[in-house]
Amino acid sequence: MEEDQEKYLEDARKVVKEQAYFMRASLEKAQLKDALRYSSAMLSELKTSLLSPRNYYILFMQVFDEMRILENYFKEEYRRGRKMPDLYESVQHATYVIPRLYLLITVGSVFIQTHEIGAKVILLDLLECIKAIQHPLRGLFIRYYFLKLCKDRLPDTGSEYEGAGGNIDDAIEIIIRNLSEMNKLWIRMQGSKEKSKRERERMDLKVTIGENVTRLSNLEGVSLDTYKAKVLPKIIDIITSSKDAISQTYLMDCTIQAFPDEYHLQTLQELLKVCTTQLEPTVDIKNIFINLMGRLADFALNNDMGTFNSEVDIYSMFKQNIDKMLDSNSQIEFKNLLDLQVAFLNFTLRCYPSNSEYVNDILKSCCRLCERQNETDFTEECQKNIVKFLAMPLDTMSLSILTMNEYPNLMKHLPFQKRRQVAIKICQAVVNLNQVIEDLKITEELLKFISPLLITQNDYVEIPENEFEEEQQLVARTVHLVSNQDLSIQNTILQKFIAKFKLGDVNRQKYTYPAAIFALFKLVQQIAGQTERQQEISYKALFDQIKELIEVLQGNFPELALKLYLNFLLCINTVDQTQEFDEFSYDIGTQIITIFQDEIGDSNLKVTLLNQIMSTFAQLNCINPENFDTLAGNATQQAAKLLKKNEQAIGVLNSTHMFYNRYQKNAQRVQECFKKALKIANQSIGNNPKFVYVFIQILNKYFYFFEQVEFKEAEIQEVIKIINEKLPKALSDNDEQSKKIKILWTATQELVKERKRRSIQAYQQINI
Amino acid sequence: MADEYDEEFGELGLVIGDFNIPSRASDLPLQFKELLVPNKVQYVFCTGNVGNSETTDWLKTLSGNTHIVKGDFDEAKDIPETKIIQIGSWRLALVHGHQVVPAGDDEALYTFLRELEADVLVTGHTGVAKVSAVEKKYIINPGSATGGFNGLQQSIPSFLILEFKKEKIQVFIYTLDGEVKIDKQELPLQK
Repeated sequence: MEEDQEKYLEDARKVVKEQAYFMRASLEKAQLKDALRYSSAMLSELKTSLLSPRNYYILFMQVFDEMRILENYFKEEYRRGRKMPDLYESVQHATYVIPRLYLLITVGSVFIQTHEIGAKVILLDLLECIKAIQHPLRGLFIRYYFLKLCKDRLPDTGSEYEGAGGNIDDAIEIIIRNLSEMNKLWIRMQGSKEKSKRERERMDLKVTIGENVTRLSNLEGVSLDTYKAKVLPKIIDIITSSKDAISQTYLMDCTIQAFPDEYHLQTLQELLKVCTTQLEPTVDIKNIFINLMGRLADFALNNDMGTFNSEVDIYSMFKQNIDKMLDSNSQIEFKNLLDLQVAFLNFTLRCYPSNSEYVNDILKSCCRLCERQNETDFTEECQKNIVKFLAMPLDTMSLSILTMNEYPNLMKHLPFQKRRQVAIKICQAVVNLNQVIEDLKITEELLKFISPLLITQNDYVEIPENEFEEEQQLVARTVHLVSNQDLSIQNTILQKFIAKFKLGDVNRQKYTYPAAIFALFKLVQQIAGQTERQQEISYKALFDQIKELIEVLQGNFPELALKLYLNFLLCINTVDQTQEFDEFSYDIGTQIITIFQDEIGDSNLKVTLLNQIMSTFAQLNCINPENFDTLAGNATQQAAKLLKKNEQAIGVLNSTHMFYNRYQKNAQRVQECFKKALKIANQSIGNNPKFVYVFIQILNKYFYFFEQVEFKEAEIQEVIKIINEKLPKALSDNDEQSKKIKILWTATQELVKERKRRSIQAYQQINI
Repeated sequence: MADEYDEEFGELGLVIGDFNIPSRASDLPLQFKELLVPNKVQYVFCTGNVGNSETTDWLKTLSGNTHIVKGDFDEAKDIPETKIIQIGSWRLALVHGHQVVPAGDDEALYTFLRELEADVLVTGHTGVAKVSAVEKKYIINPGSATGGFNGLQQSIPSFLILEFKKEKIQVFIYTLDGEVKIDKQELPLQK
């Protein structure tokens, strides 16, 4: 069939080309009679029943282009003095109807330009004549031709044809009649067989119909009032009387597209009423609405919002009509109604950005809609829409949206995966917009909504590890947005979060607890920073809670717990300058040592953690001297038990800082540490000359304490002596370790030289 | 050539770290996000404790030379603890700083710097922005990008921008206390 079509079209086009050639040749020789004969032959190809509508269109366009040449010649003829009535008469000699009518229209169009007869007279006459073509396809195209040729010959307001030639009412009348007839023909193309093929063919030709509407919108004389009073009612009439879904849909779309948005604003009520009550049930009203809402939203945003609001209550009009659709027993699918609700919500959010009442109303409608459905109606598509519905407002409105009581009602229609999606979207909106969480009620609602992320619900579905981590990190981030001028409210809100976190399993707590703990640290510091202490929150209560939370993590995540305890000590340290919580802090310190000893197996990790423990202890002022000495001593002992000898030596060396720092000034302990470190070093240097590195480090540590602690000069010189002794052997093989030794030794010598040069007393005696 | 620097305009490096997202903060401050966009600097030096992969990925988009070291709360296995980067006549050492005892102590850090033969030690951990000179070397700390808890005091978000020239580094210290404040300090090269 396809190949046949191609052949038919090819053949027809060949004939048209041929006859057009002869026509043009005759025109050049001013042989009008011959030209008309050839043009008739050319136009006869349009009598064909062989071509598909699409191919007929192609042929038509080819003929159309050739007819312009003839039209121009007619114009020339008139200028040369030929009488138009004669011409008008002579073309009617064409044998066949189709060529005759095409020629008549062509001449008519030129005739009008002469102003010898009123435009309206000729146009109406032509309209009468072309009624003769009742075949849908051919009738459609001849009327299309009529429309195209009479484009600038209408008695529009302000045109040259106004007055004797008619007025705007006539112009409108002519186009409307043409539209009405074309529409009827178009509908007849449907036939009763091969439904989808016919529909496709009709859609191929829709622009021919649409051109009428475009023409109407281009008329100068169609003002808002004219549109309202004369044009729109007539178009609606055509639409509603047709009872054909394709035609109704297309004509509505054309009308909305062709006329300005200001006009639609003023006629919205009418348009919506037609859509909801007078169209065929199979028309996709939702798309028309969505189209309209989109345009009006763009219009509102590009223009003065004031006009938008004051003149017409757009929102209410849409709302009423949409609700009517929801409530009617129409066969509109649930899925489509949901699409519509989403589009309406989007429209409302764009045009009325802070109106939460509107949002809540739409929410209510949507809930009512969902209540009516069976569970099986909630397909993947529908669920996606509900997710969109719940998440959209958060991008523009504040968290107060969560307090709308209809919100949770919508959530319950969703399966776990979708509830999780909503929860994630809510968290993301809150975090991305940096929304401060300062209201208790909103917090409660928020936590309800993000429940899918906080606890393992009944219909839980496993997710990949990295997704789980992302999701939990999102929850953790939310905690840090909690803030309120009144710190006791801030605390109450945090407690709500923590209560929920407690219900989650330890895999979630790995992420949520640290965030809560650090938020509590911050709260403690904020309380300390207040000039007037609020009595409601006690440090003790907070400290107890923090300890409780860290203890939970200890079982599965001992390293994390240890680090959190270290930060905990620092937190207590910032607020407790009087050792009020001495026992408590000592207890924490002991816990730290215990975890270090019993739960940390990896030896490299032990070295790093011990350094951190010592660093932290070295900053504390919140433990009484006796307890502190015990703790620091324990840490030193742990150093002596590290795996490698050099690690032991350095560990003990680092202990010095615990005993001598901003708060502690225990020179004796420092000296003891040095002695211990030297003992370990001396034990090892025998077998391993590279151990000289530790001696150099010890030497540098002496220099660290030089101006604070007194050392025996002999002791230091002894160290230097050992270094100088062992150095050559240590450096002999020039490996990585040797390089390190050399670098540090050179740097150390430089340091002494420099400090000697600056006449720093202590260094003068050092013989290096 | 690596050694040739136009005295008028040098290469730029961003020094930033201790984000601790999400354990101590929800996000980088908005004012910082607006300033830190791709292709403004040639180098990024991150002192560690980033906290989540999203932020790490973001750091890598800021320049083609992003260097990150491991903080005490970073869990990834493949990040180094220290890094040495040579920029023209400057040898930079990058380390988080939780490895050093006492933490944040200039003398102790100076020893660490000498062991690495660096001119500048870039370090974090304390949560407080600081630029100090010890003998002929420099120790710089960008503080915490988010101002998360640091155990000492209420922290202020901060970061550094370094402008590398042959004979000096120009340091710009950005802090956020209500609004963004910028302080300058010059570090002449001393060998």
